[in-house]
Amino acid sequence: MRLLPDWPSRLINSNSVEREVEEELRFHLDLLTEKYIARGTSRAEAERFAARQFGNIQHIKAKCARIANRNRPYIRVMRSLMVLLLFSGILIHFSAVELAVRRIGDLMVTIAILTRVLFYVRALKPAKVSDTALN
Amino acid sequence: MPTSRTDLLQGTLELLILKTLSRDTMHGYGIAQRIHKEVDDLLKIEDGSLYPALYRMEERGWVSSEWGVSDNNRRAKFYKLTRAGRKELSDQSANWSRVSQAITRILQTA
Repeated sequence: MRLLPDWPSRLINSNSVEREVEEELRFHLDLLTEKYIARGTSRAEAERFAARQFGNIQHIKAKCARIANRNRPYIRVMRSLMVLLLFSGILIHFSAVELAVRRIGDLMVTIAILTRVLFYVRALKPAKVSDTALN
Repeated sequence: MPTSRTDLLQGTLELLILKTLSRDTMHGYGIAQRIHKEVDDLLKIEDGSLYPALYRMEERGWVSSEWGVSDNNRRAKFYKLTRAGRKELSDQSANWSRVSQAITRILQTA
């Protein structure tokens, strides 16, 4: 029995997101296999049919993990914060009279842009997916 | 068994998923089985292709998901349509009707 809820780890832990993707796909493949077995095929044959019906598992896993990681709550919060930081920085830059305050605005804009670039580069990177669960 | 089945047009899988989920909350396997039951003789759909579509739809706020227990007592992820998803279904259905009407008209007259 689980003592603690698992949602806090899902907020920040990309591995748990990927495990969930694997669990979801495994559930589907198992039911497909059982369906073919119920029709009278051997387990090995049923697994082969299920894999064919499902499509390219590795490709689908990686795709789903990439989208799920992009969609994690903390990433969405960070994105919203960066947009807020960007517009606040621009506002400060153009409205402040003192140079030091304008520099703070510039810094805020720079941080927001660099963070956006970082998210973009991370999104380009292939998702880490273990090969153990679904093969 | 049909002799030929057509590959699904780009973007139409989402419409099929939206429509399927408008009736019930379902896990991915359930969605796939429902779609196969309705159109297996006409369209060629790989089950796995549903998942990236579902994840994208969740990202756009059209569906929400929650882990639960399936009929066979296993942990499964269930999807349901959100209010934004219902609106999207209505928009996409209307768009699909217009497009298919236009194509039918051209095929009949040309």
